Amino acid sequence: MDSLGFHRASSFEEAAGLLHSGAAVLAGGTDLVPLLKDGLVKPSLLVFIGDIPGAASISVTRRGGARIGAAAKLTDIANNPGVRRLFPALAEACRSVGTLQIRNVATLGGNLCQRPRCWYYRSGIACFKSGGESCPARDGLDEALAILGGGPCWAVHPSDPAVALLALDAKITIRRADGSVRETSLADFYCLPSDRLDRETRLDAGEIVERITVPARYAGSPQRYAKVTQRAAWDFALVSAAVVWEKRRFRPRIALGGVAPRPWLLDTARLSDPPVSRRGRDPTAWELWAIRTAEQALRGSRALSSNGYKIELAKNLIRRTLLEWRRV
Amino acid sequence: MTAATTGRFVTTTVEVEGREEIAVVELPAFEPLPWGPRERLNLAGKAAERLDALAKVTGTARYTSDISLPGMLFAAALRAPIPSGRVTLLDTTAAKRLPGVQAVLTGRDIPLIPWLHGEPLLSSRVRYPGQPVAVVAAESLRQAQLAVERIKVRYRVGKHVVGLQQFPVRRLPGMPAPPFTERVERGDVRRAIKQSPAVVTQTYRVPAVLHQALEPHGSVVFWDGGRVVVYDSTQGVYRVRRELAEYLGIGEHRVRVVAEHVGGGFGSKNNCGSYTVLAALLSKATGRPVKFILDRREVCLDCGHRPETIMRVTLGAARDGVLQAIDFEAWIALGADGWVGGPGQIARQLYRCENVRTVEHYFYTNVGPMSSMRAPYHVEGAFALESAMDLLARRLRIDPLEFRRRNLPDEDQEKKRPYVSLMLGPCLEEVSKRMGWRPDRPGDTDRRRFLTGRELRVVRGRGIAAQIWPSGGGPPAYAFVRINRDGTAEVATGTQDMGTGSRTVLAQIAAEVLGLPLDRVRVTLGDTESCPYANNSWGSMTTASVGPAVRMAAEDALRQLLEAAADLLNVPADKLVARRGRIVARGTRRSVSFEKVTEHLGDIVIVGRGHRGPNPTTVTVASFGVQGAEVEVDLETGVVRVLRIVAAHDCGRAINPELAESQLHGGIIQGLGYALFERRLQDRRLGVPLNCGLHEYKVPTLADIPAIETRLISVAEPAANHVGVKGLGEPPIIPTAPAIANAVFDAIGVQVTELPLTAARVLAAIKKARRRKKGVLGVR
Ligand SMILES: Cc1cc2nc3c(=O)[nH]c(=O)nc-3n(C[C@H](O)[C@H](O)[C@H](O)COP(=O)(O)OP(=O)(O)OC[C@H]3O[C@@H](n4cnc5c(N)ncnc54)[C@H](O)[C@@H]3O)c2cc1C
Ligand code: SF4
Repeated sequence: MDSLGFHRASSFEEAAGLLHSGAAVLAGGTDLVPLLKDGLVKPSLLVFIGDIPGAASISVTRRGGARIGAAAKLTDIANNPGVRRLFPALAEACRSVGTLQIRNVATLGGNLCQRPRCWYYRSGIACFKSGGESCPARDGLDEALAILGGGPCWAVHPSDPAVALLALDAKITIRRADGSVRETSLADFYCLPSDRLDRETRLDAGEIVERITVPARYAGSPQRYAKVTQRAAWDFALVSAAVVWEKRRFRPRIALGGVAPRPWLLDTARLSDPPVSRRGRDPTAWELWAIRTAEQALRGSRALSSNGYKIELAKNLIRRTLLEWRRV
Repeated sequence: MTAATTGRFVTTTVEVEGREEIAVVELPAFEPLPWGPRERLNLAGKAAERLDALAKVTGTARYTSDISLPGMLFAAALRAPIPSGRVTLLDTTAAKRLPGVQAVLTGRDIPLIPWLHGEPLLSSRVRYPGQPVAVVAAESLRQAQLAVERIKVRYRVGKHVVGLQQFPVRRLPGMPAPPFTERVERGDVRRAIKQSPAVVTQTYRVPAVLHQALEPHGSVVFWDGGRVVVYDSTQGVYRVRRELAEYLGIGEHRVRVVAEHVGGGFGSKNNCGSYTVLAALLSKATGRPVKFILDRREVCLDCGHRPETIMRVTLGAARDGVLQAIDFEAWIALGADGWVGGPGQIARQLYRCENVRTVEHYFYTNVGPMSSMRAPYHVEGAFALESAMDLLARRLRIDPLEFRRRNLPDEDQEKKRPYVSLMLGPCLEEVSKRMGWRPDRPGDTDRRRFLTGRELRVVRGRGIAAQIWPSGGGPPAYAFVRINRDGTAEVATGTQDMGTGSRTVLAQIAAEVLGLPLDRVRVTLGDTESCPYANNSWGSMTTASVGPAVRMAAEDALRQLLEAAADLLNVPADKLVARRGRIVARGTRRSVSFEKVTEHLGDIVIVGRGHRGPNPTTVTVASFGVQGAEVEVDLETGVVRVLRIVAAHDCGRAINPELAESQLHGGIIQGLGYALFERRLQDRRLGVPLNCGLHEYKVPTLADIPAIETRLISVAEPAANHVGVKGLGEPPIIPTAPAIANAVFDAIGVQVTELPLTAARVLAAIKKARRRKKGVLGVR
């Protein structure tokens, strides 16, 4: 590290304008600062967005859905009464992050843009992610790696909120260096290593996340975020699942975490319809459907030498979560 | 065991961490009468707040990293990133030119100090990742780190071995053949196994784990002319002094080592660290004090570990559940260096068995040197032995607790002599009672079922495991007690308090003898200049070793004081006792306050001297303990949560029951981490560790800690020493992991034979159980 500048931005426009190469957005710093200290990123300028007026705002209405500023703290999202009432999956996902101390500082925008937790990458070992030419994890300790969408990098995406937001079909509002704004779905926000290796999102240089919008379509619909961790707290997901039901057409949107280099949305078209009839639900049929859906969901998954347990875990988690709606 | 002479100094055998050594011990001129179980004591045996609690929670307690001396420089090290090889180029010119840099030292710039297997310190031959190659001292830590980055260095990478990769291991490529194999046998194991109607064999694996003391390792050293003053985060000020003086080639009288507060050590701070030596050399080179505190990564790389171990256990028993044979073989990956202790020891001692064979193979590998870690080797051995015991209990269809009851030892089977007290049975019964343990009847599996809805998703299980640990303490240990003119007293002893509460316990003992309230006694420890010798804080030895020395010193001081009081009261000194701040003539109403006597003496100095006498030679002193665990296993995720731990441990007289119980809590939490989460991840191909921070190296969080119910089986042990105590620091970590693993076994019906019990491993075991239709899972 030679010299590091610091700028307190007063608007997203200004911040985006400063994002020339070598500059990095600083929000809560819970990921960026460790990356800096470990020498994994070497920016020359930090553009702090935490003081931008309104950047941390959270507004939720049944009609309008949720609008959450990129700099909103995870604690505030998890505790927001509107979010808890209308988008409990998001509140739950935010609450499941790390520790209270982390959530008090970490922002949603930073969470969505956090870097992978691969042991190799974080230890400073040269690999595809750090500009190298191999994936040592693939040939080494691979138990935490992806079972879906992997290659040439196999590190799973670490974010919990992203999984819930993906199931909720959230939109991301992005400010560009020239001051203009573009919007993208969260599904399009993330990419796979086969598309791009230097980062996990499709953010281009000079782009910054300004706001996350959750459509009203799912406000108050049945939904759940379930996360399996080794430790009872302060742990990333081994596997996580968000299930969100559409209100009109009774169909679930299912997203998985901990299984792929991006938050993983299941292709609803490939899943069979749930057995709902006018007379209500038949628990046995529902159970069979849940089992079938779990199988379909993991079709195409592929185990490396020691991460195969994730396939079973993901199936069990999907089935278990779907079974919660066995009876109306 | 027999004394060679009858003088004051006798040559005898003493026990250190379970091993016997020949040593000279000093026989005390007088020894106080033992405090028996019925002794009426005021302070010793009661909870008292830690004397340094307030200082610690308010941040005024100064740890080594808080030390700041005028003109102090900061040190940082260049460490080899490779597991094995040679430094082929080392150029410090650019680093030396950076602003603030005062000294850069490489192997060429320092005297030859033999370090690893005779290789010098800062050697150009690399044996493990993180091995120091060069050090810098600069005006600020940042400048020192920048200078380290500027050192030009090149390596030629050699072959490496990081662990026990194949099984069974005969010889690891690129490393010397097993440097030593230890073999101990009694009886005829082969025959006994052949004749046993019930035999089980299983192989168990445990990973390398780290101490993770909260305070990182480090020293502040000032080499000022002829003197070297060292502030060090250490478990042994006197050991560091001796080793450092030897490394530096100067007299011990020129070295002072201070450790006022130590934020944990767990065995990783037993010796003089390379950082201490290097800080001293940098201080010598610059003439200024040098602070060298390691960061978490350096601690993970270069401050020791509990070694990775594979153990194969075969047990044989008669139909009635009486053990016939124990065959225990272990393969231990020490690291670049280490000491030989033996996971087999617990297999030779814990249960009664005539035919026992333990074979241990030790290997060197390309990771940092191993060091003791809380109950070294016993923790590993207990996991294998106690897991195999449950396997055999199941084979015999005998309740695991009952099975252990049938195999309690009746004496120290290795030394063929009785234990001073054998508390394994009482601990077992206590845990049985507290857990409401009742053997299962045939087909009785409901206990394990924990139904959520219609489905069996979560099962419960319970398990127990036991422990033995040599805990007698022993000589040498010295203490002074000085009585001041105002009626206060000071204890000085060269032990240290690494968080266990020794300072408080020793004050309680002195205050008890002197009849003073605790706030009129101060204990100085952790300073080789002002305190007489005491050993390392290791081997659960401190209270049992230093406690008697302090008591004797206090008795010695009191004896002198009573002589003065005798004058004042006109009563013979042998009729006087000290009680509640007064000197009282027994059987009369005459008394005088403690201060009256000291004031009367004015500046006459009263100093009591005490030391620890030898241990009894006809009995073995050991601490026993049993723990029971209740767990919940999620069958769909493989995640294990511990619901409850019940622990009963024996420690002789608990001088401070609250502190004793906090040792139980600490050991159990550390043991839970060993069972469920902790492991040093190493890449085989690259030979480097992957989780050198507290994020990836998972210690238990508060949310993982279950209800812990502790029970001290606390009976004064006057035959052990005159304070009546046995050691307790290490024992509580020993049974926790096997108790949890046995509870998981009970829950799912199949053993997970490798720690930690990760979701992946537990899921695999559940799958196996379902295939074999074993246990509750098969009943479905
Ligand atoms: C101990 C610990 C435990 C954790 N556990 C979990 C967990 O269980 N689940 C989980 O999901 N996460 C977990 N995390 C990750 C944590 O949630 C993220 O570090 C945090 O959310 C990042 O937010 P921040 O505001 O601190 O971002 P920063 O650290 O400031 O930034 C993170 C990254 O995002 C970029 N960035 C920040 N804001 C923007 C923006 N508006 N537009 C574009 N780029 C941006 C930064 O440049 C940087 O690259 C854990 C982290 C720690 C340290
Ligand atoms: S999984 Fe990805 S981040 Fe990890 S070592 Fe491979 S390329 Fe690097």
